[in-house]
Amino acid sequence: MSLFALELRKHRVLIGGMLLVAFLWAAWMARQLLASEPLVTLAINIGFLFALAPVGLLVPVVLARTLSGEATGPLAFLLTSPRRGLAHVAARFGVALATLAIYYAVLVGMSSWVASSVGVKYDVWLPLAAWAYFLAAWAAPAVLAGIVYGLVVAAYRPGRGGQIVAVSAAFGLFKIWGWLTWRAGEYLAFLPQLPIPRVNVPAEIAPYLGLARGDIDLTAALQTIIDGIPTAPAFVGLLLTVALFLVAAHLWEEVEWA
Amino acid sequence: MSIFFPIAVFYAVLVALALWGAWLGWTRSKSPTARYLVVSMALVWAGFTIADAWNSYESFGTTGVAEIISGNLDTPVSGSAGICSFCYEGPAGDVYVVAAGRARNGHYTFNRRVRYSLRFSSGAVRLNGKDLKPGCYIGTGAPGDILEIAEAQKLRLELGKNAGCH
Repeated sequence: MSLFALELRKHRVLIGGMLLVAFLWAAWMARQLLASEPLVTLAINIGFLFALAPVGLLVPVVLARTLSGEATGPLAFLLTSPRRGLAHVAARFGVALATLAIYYAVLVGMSSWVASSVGVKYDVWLPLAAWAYFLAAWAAPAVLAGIVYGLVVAAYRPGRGGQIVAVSAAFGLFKIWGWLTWRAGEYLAFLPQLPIPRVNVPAEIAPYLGLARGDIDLTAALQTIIDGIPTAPAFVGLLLTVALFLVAAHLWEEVEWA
Repeated sequence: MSIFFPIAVFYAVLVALALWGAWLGWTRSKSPTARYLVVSMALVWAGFTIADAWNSYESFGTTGVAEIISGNLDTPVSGSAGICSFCYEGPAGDVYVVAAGRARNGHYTFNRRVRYSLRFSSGAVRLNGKDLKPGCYIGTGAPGDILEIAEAQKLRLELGKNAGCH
């Protein structure tokens, strides 16, 4: 049995539950879209998105935190011999990222379907770009931060301040992440920028968004404040992912196989 | 007692927590990676917290947060814009700022003699009845001077002795 399959099997309830919720939501939305007024669906969808967005942001951390833990679980006997930390972290990271990729694909896909069926016009590449950008700039580093968090807690004996230590480290990590993203906007400005997506909201939808009446050209509104969507946060995310990956692999070998 | 005192206490607690985490992190584990990671990250957090505290202390001195809270803010101009998107009006660093991504039907009157810089990228703006072309202007406004914004994009009016076209 591969490490990937082992991780999947260990956490099948959590992963299955998450995906089941996402798919049930998608099915319900599809039924609404096909059977009733798309505008009503949009109104419901926006409410849902506003309710889900903060939860969706936390999902990577929560998932990684749940995945992390000692290697001596009930299925550890399936591992015939200790393997490199890199392999374990890769398996865990792979399972988490694959789950999140499906989860966010459902969210983004449904939202764009609802939007297009009520007449919002946008570039074809926008949903895919938003999905990839979110995974690279937020989900991947956040998952690894969660895995590292769990390993740091495991590196301290219970009752010896492991949580205080891990919280301090996590705050430092998120601070430095924010700082790097901010500085990158300044120093990595030479990196290619994504064009501002073309989004046009027709007049009849504007009231559902709590906006003034009339066609809304989001592109024109955004153009007054930015020239393009910077890719620097995605590069910072990638850098952090690699760094945290190496840290997690080292930690695994020192903590779990010590 | 300074209005900053409770905020300073809050930051001090955070720094104490970070240093406690660093100390525990160094003394309570045998894993070198965990020790180095935790100590470096906890110290980073402490450093950022101290920097945050210092920045907010400085901004209290220069942006007049105490005046905003007490309601005694000295505004060099008064007025408003009919339609305004991505707007801010208030203290910013050592100047008072009226900024707008896009503004329409704006009307502002100078309350006192003050140095100003006015920048906008496009639109129709009039100062004391004189049409201005897009660009950046520096001057000194007198009480009663009138700034009219028929429409403007990326507008930034800075007021104060450090106002400039940087």
